[in-house]
Amino acid sequence: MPVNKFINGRLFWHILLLLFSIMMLFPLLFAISNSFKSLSESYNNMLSLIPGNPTFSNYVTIFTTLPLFQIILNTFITATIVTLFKLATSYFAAYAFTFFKFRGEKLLYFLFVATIFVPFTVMMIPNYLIISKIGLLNNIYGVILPQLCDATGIFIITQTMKTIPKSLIEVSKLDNVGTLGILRDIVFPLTKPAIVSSGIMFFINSWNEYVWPTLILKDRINFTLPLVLQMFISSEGGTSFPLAMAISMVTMIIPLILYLFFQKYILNTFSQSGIK
Amino acid sequence: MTRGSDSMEQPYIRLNNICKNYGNSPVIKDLNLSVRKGERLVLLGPSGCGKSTTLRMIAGLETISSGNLYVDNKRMNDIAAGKRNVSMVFQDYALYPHMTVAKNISYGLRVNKINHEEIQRRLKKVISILHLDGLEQRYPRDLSGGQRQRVALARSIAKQSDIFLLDEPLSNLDAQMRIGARKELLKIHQLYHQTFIYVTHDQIEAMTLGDRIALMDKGTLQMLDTPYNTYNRPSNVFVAKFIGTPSTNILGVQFKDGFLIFKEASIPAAEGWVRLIHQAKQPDLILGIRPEHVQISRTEKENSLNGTVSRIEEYGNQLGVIFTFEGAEITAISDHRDWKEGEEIFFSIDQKKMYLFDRTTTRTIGYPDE
Repeated sequence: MPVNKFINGRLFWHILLLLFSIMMLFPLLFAISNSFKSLSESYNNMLSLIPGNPTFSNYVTIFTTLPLFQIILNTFITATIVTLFKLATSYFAAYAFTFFKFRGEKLLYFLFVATIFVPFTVMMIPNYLIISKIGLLNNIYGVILPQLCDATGIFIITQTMKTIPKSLIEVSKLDNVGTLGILRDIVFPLTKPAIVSSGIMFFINSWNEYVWPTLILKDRINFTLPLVLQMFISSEGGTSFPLAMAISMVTMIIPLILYLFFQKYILNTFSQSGIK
Repeated sequence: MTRGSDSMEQPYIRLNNICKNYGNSPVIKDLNLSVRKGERLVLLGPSGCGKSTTLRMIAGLETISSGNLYVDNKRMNDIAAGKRNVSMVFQDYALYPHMTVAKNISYGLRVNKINHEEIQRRLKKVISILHLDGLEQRYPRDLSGGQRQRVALARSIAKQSDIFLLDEPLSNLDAQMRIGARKELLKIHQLYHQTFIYVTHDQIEAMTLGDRIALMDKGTLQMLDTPYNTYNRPSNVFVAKFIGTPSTNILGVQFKDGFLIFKEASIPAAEGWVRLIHQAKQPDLILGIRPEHVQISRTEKENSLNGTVSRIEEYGNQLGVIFTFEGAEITAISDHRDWKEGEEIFFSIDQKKMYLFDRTTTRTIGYPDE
């Protein structure tokens, strides 16, 4: 009987999960493997997951023919500044929305959150015109500027902050703790999981941002990684598939390292949200 | 209103004509209250009466709409909460969830730059007073309700402020633990002699903890006096009905020719009362009598009236006998257990223990033995 049960219940789910895992993992393994194949091997044997003659030549090529270190740095600076600024603005705005009482507070919050639903394409042209007027075209700071604050972070962090009992803030006030002290010692530790997970989200979104940098950046030396990747997929280098895979690997590795470093907090966010 | 307070002693905390409005709705109306140094004052009243708001105004967590708050003759209206030298225990304890017990207690002290040795000394002392030994490195989530409550107390005591505010600190504890916690609070007061202001809606807590009780209703002070007087000499109908369970019986009576008349029935008013009624020049009165002061029997006595038992309530040690009299319901408490619903009984009221209030103002007309 237990065998039957296993076949009917658990086995079914295990097979399903296995299928999904393969679906998720295959493209990744496929990319890794092809980034180590020569061009001809990639053509003849694209689907094999283990390269017959592993080679670093693709990596050597991309690092020698492109200002790739500069491009990685550009992408990193962009994503880091955007993330830190967004987190700071979101954190302070969330504190104000949660703990300050002022006229029109609810309306203002509603308006902020409503901007989440404004499509990027609507803002694209006005933002472009503004960036061009202030002379930040072809400059990573032109990419950074419009991304510095955003209602998503305000929304996520406000929702978490609202779970902090007001009495915690009051008891600190009675203990003569200033607002900065409260922000640092009381509110920050209690919202840290939300801050870290929003931070990772901001970083990855900014890291992967493609459309906006395409509009702003013209010279390779100013490019971010997704633009370089696009170069190899489009007509310019479209035939060199293994090179594109090698760039994909480079694009992927930094967010992955970051994720491994912060995964403790991400898991915390999920486990804490369940326990009150 | 201030009967029973000692005018010789300089008040430490004074609330002068304090009003508090939220938008257009007043929550506190012209509150005058003074608290002596080292006194335990209880703010008592039904929910929404403004007792917590009053406490929070003293703490500096709520602004004062008008009127003045003085502590030690210094006007405090515009002094920030952190500079008022008050500590407060909250109903939900307000423990920092991300700090251990020891950190919860010491955090405020560290912020206020108290030196390390002194913090350790105070920490050690409050931990031992409140029996928190061994729990120093635990987080609040790993503590029981009673332990959390004691940590909250410990944190407030460690601050060693002169004014100790408690906002329903025991209401989240079960009945058994409350008794222990009350003892603990009294012990703390004996040790530190802070000025206690204690908010509760529980009259037993108010009676046992308060030197004086300030009873509030709908944003106004109804009575400020000792627990004994609050129970035995209520200043108005609200106080008489609010204090004591079962509630005081209330009857609208008229005074005529030496008699108190209720519908068809009448009893001769005692001499002391007659004098007070004449002084008050008010024949329309409200009579209040506590259930334990209504004597019931099966035999008719002098000046006894008769009613019909409609309901019997079990209190374990005693019975509550609810009977109808001239259309009104009156509750009596009896040690005898043989009452039956529907039976005719005779009752009399102890005039030494009854209250008479002016029907228009609902205030007491006084007490004969004064």
